[in-house]
Amino acid sequence: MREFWVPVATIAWKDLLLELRTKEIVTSVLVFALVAVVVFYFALRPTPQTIGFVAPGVLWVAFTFAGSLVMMRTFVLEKEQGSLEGLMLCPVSRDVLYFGKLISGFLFMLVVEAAILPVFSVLFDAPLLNPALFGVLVLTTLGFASVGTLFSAISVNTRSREIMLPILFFPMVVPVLIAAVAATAIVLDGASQERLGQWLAFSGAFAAIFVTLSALLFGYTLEE
Amino acid sequence: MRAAAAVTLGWVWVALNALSAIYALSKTGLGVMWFAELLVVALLASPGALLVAWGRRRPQRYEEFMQLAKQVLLPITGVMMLLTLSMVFLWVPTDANLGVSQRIFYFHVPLAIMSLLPPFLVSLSSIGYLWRRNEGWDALSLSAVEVGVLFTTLTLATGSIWARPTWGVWWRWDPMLTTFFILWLMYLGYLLLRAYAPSPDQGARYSAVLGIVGSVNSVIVYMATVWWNTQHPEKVVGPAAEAGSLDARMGVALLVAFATFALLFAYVLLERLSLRRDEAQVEVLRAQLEEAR
Repeated sequence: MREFWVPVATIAWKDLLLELRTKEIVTSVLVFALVAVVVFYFALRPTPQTIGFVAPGVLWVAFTFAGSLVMMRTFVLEKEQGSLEGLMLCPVSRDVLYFGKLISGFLFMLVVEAAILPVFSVLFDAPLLNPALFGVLVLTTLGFASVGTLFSAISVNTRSREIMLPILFFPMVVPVLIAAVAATAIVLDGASQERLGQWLAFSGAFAAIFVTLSALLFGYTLEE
Repeated sequence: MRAAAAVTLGWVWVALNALSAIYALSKTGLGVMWFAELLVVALLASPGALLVAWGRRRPQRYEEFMQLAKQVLLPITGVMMLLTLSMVFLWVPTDANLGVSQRIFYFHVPLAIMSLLPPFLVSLSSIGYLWRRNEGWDALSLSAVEVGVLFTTLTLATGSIWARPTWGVWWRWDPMLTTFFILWLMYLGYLLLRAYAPSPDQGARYSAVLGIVGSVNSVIVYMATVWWNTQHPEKVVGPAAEAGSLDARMGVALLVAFATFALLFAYVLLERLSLRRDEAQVEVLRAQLEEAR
């Protein structure tokens, strides 16, 4: 157990340390997500009556776009600096690499989302700082990061990688996106706690299935 | 011995995949639909997979078999297609509620069920490829996806043509339609991934990974959209909802149409598989030519 988690933590810590020093990923994605929220506001012009319908959707579209950018950046940085080969030479199994990258990507996304959330609730006048929403955020982001890590490892090696990742990533996260939007709407309504539990269970199942599957398949994406 | 283990694992996978799909479908009361699907999967996916495994052992006889199968399937499919057409337009009574537009079901329903086959075939052959690195498995996944794009496009098109006069709209975001649309998008992503891969070998590997993950996801998409819709109660007047109330002649025509489209699927898949073999041979010849220079 120890032999597994220590290298995982080392790889994740390497990414976090790099990010703490350069702040390259989180700042740029944060600004991007803010811009997206503003664009959506003017595209939809929500009134106090429609805001309840619009807010969950806008929030999660912004998070989905931001998530795909975060995943792309974590691998592009490795690729550009030639450190992907270094990672592959590490004397650890491929699923260790997967979990390391999963954890760092997951944390970057959470940081971006945590920073967006207060701004969003002010701009859209939606009471989003709710503990129930925390569960939705964590499970959905884990679901995003599970397939996102696998697909960015694939698309970073393809030509026109910036377009390849969204094409693969968005259809794949549709189920968990549906769950996230539905759960967020319930949190805003304050109604039907039972449904909320079901959607959380669904997101959890999605994350569990795809973390397992991606960990199994990750090795095949990193062969030369 | 390892081959046997691989085949067993593949079948377990398919069984799980099939069971979850059947479970999801049975939840919506589409009984006839999933039963037909199971039947078709058993009939078509197994020979397809066995064919590849066998082709590896006996390339010569595999080649002969493929030629023979294509020669036999083409005229049979043609005759069946004519039979289906004449049944649909001359023999079957017009539906009391839906009118003439219901006749498109004899094309739409078989096409839709055949479109559910490629995810099964792709997940099976992708596992086969990652395990054995046999080109035959890769050819099977690629061919299944390409045929899947064709059948899914036709399903979406015929569905829209029917929906316009009946529902008054071309499109509705109900579970079935959404699932097919997402499936279609994933197929396109699969083909794009192959086109953009740096080398054919990497393309095959990446798309096998995508094939497995995507097939699992198509079932989850379906479940998610079903649950999503229960929040917005909207009666779905899907093709299968009519299946219970079929006139005897309608049932016969539908079965004949199923058989026809199953044969068409098999024929197009075989044709694509042998085209893939030809492509591989051309590649080999081209490489030899380069060396000779």
